[in-house]
Amino acid sequence: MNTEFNDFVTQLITHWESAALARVVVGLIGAGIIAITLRARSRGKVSGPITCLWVLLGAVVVLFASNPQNFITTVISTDYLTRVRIMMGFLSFLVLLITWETVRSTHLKERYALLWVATAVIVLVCALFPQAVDLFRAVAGMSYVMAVVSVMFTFLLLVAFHFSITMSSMELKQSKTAQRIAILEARLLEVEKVLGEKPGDAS
Amino acid sequence: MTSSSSKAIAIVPAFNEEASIGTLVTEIRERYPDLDVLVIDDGSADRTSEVARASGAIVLSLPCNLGVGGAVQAGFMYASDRQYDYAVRCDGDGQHPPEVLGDLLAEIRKNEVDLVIGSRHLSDEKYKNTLIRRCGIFGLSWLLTRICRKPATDPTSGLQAFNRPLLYFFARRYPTDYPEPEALALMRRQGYDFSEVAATFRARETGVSSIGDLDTIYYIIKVFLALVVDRARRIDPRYSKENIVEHLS
Repeated sequence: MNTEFNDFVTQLITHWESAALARVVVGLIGAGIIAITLRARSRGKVSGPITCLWVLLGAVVVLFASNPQNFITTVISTDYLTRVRIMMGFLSFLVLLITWETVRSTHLKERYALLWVATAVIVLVCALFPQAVDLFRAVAGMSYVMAVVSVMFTFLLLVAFHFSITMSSMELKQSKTAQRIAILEARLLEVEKVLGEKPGDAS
Repeated sequence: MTSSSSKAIAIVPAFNEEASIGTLVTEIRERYPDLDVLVIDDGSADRTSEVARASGAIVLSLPCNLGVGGAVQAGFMYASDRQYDYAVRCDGDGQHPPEVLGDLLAEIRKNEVDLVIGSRHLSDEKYKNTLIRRCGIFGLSWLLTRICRKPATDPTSGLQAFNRPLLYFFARRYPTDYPEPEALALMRRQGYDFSEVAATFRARETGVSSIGDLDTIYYIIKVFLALVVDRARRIDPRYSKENIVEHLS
């Protein structure tokens, strides 16, 4: 590890060690997250996996606030690549979870969910098996992180393109519907005129 | 020459034209008593629908703004549904003078072509336009003349008359924004024919052009792209002229 990075870490630790008020605030925020989540859970408003994620997040925040020095040194002592992989795994898990919850609760169509799930799975695979992107890295001459980011980017582009196609076809359908409605309305008025009814008292 | 047995309709797309639509409808009805007038209110915020209806027009009131392509297509759908033999389009902003509608109808009633275009560039009067717009129209005209293998001097003109087979086709297939040049190429590929008559346009009295200066660039790029893409598409035999004429008879 280079000295510049070490200096940065030392600086970070001293900053947090001395900032007592900030630590209390951060700790309270962490505790607040846990409390709110557990309360919502007890009322049955959130699902199990989501509760776990939020409680985990709150615990990490509280842990950090209680002893920043230990927390930072422990994190720094692990391998850089491992940290990136854990974060990616966490991210893909989050995407999968959100997609699942949305499909379940707000009727997100499965065909749209599919590309999101594929994106999350690809990232998860990259996190679990770093050698999966080795060939891609060799061809493009990128670092591991860059390779994963480009794979993700490609999938997000696909998602966006999928939306463009869908929007075009929706626009076409919407305009057909509007045209048909206008024609039906005009013909309804003609019929009402013939029948001698005033518009509005057809019933 | 007007054959009294054939039904004709004037298609008037209008967007926020309550100030001028009444006079236009009245003028068309006085000049051509045989012609039904259909105003398509393209989701106006003002009283365009009411004014047009009060002046004696049939009104299609679109629930939302579809742009001129969608509005005109609603007119084609109505005309095709109601089995009109001919239709003539006259924009609601007053730039198409009602007195030339007769020329177009007379030409389409000869049954030689499927579409008659009122061309500003065949008339003697010079039509004032910005430089960039003139360049765009010139380029489009050049390209379309080659695509159609027939002179198209004013491909952006909305002053047009249609016969029944073409109404049937356009009711099902019509481009959306800035539709005229694309529609011309589209119908030509499906085997329809067109001709042009000279027409003088009026300077607009009220309202603003649907095409602003910046939009002109987008217009040109979009239409050129669409023309190229259309060439790459396969011809749809269901809507070829022979099939539709057979279907309608």
